[in-house]
Amino acid sequence: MRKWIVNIFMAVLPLTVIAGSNFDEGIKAFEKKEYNTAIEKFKASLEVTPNDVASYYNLGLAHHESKSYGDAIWSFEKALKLSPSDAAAKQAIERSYAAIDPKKTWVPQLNRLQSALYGFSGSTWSIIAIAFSVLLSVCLILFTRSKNLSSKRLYVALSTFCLVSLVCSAIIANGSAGYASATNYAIVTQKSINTFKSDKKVSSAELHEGERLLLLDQKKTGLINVSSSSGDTYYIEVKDVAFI
Amino acid sequence: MLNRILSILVIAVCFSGTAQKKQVVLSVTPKDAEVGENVVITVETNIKGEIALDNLPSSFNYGASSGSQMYQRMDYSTGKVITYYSISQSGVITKPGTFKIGPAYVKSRGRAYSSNTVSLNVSKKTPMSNGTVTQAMLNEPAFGVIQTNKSSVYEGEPVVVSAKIYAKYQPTNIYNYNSFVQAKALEAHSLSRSVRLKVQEETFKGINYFTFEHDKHVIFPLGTGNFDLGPYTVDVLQGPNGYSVTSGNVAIRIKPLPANPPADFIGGVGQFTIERQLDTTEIKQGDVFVMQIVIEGSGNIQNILEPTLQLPKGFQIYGDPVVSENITYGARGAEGIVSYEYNVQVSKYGDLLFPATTVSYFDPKKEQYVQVETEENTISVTLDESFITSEPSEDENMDEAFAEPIPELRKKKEIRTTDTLYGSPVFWSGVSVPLLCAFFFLIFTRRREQSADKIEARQVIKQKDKELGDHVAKSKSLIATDPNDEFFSSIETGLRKAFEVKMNIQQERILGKDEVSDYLIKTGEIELSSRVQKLFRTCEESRYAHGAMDGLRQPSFDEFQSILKALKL
Repeated sequence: MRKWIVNIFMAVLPLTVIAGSNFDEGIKAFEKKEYNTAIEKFKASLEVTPNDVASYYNLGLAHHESKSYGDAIWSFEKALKLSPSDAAAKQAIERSYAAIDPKKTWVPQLNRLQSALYGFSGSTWSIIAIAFSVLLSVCLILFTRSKNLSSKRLYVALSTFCLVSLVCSAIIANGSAGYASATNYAIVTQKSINTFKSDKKVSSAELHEGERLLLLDQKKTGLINVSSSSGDTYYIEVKDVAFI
Repeated sequence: MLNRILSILVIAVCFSGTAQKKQVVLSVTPKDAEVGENVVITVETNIKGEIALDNLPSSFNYGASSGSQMYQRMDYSTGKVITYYSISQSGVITKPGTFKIGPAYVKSRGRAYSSNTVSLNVSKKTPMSNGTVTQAMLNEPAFGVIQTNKSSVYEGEPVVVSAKIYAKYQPTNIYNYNSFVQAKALEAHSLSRSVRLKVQEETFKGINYFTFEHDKHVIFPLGTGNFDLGPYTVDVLQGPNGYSVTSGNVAIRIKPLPANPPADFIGGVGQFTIERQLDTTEIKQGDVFVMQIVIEGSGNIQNILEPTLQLPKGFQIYGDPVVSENITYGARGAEGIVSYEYNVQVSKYGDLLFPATTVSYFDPKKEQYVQVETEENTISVTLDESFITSEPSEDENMDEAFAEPIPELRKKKEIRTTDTLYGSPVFWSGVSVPLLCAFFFLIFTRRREQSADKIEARQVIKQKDKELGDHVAKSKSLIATDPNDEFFSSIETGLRKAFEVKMNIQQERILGKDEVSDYLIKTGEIELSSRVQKLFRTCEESRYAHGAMDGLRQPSFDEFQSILKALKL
């Protein structure tokens, strides 16, 4: 058993070291204003640790400084996806949108309440739900064992609170897990992209860098059907966007 | 179709630009004209050869003005001086419509180089309205009015004005003409192309007149408010004889431009476009590129101001711009292009965004300020190690101070897990197991309590059964002894105990006779009920009989035992 643990540890350790070195090198490159190098390093770091909020955030800053605002917005959105209550990432997205067009405003996917609640992971909310389940069980037992009327009333109130909290925690856990795992949006990473009609012919409308598009189908190749913030639907080429 | 070939053989120059790009450019000014308005068609080329222009509209009447010229310009990208040759031809279009002109060709060394084509929009002649005509003027042999195409304009907006003479005789000549534009606060440009009188016949207020227009101008009144134009004086001759005419005045209202113009307002009133050209977008750090900003349009383009440039940090303009104009005057005012050439040095390196240049003008048709802008450019500047940046100026320091700071990098990894506990067996077990445990615990305790109650009840009944036995034994022992009341009390109590056991009554209370009776009636033992009631009565009566009822002891005891037997106790 101990041998297995040592083997796993020895296998994971080099990957962690590589990810760490790429991350640190990315920071150094950024500080030297070598933004393209920084981008490469942060991307390499993300290949090893794909759920690292800091790498996505730093990658977004590097993209922003190299004027790739669409890619920057995508990176910050990815950071927000992993950490929905990340205020710095929200500010960074607004900054990138302002760099594209000062009149453009960013509307977050989640409202304030959702981002505060989804700031805790689905697992955290699941544990809270389990804790309330235990408390509810205890309250029910105490209620049935209690002879005193005022105690019974107290246990009824506590049981109701625990039941409501249990249901709410489970709903939030479901929402948080769904938000974290779903791929519903894409960001335009090119300066402007062509759109296509349903018959695959190029339409006159163009979409511009940073536009967030709602995916209407879950294909990841060829032409995909999307809806823009104005509600218009288009077909676009997958290569022109990055998925969140 | 009337095609005419214009040709000109130009003189060879001392410079030969072998690497230069061959260009033949055809242009027409103005692009929008009205019937009878003078237009100029120009062919410009850097190819030495014979220039030919075909496809002129059939309604194009050649004017007197035509010419050719040769000039040299510096190509900043190569540093070479290039010789250009151009020919121009003026004329008028006699009917409205859209006309395609060109292409022009330059034939050189057996090859023909073609130019672009241009489109010329010709509209109907602008209607002119007369100034005031009084009855006294109508009584004269001849009178004059001032015609204008607008009676109310914005400051800087052009107005076309002309003198019109009405004569009851056919005029042959005019003499001593004093123009209406003299000594007035205005900028005027003559549109008259001919000194010949074009006399027409016209009926005005029921009278036949010989009329002609003279001294057509486009004017730009200065200031605001009511502007009085005129009068003019002229001697209208028929042969040696003539009549001296003094025209009336015409009033034009000059409206001020709306307050608070945009910061990039260039003073233009009309319709304008802007274009920007950079001679290169790939240079070395410290190098200079040429930026040309071209403003084109009609209105008061001759009076526009130089655009205010907002250059990003790292770009610096050297010297004053070279301003060149190509302006003609027509019914829409001044029309043409004004170009500004700037030398811009780049002190930064990398892919630098060169933002759009914007200008604003006032559009009198829309009655609002309109902003137009060029496209953005990205300039790739390669690093030059040897380039020494000059000390930053005070302004640059200010820029640094107000520059948006770059948000701080995150120095530590923040790894989040996307694997969620929600929906997993652990989650569902975690939620359901405590509730199930509570449920089973409650069932278990409830059953336990119920069984404890049963045991307790059984013990109570057992106790009462025992007490019943004691009473039976006691009653038996009291049969032979006094007094009566003790014996019958024992029988009565025993009877009650018997029914408490039978009716499974666990509480310590005195069972009523009626309860016993009800129980027996309910169970259908009516006969037993009467026997029990009878025995109760006997006991009650005998308790207080003081020996009178002694004979009833044994039968009562037997009856008691019989009832117990019937009750299966």
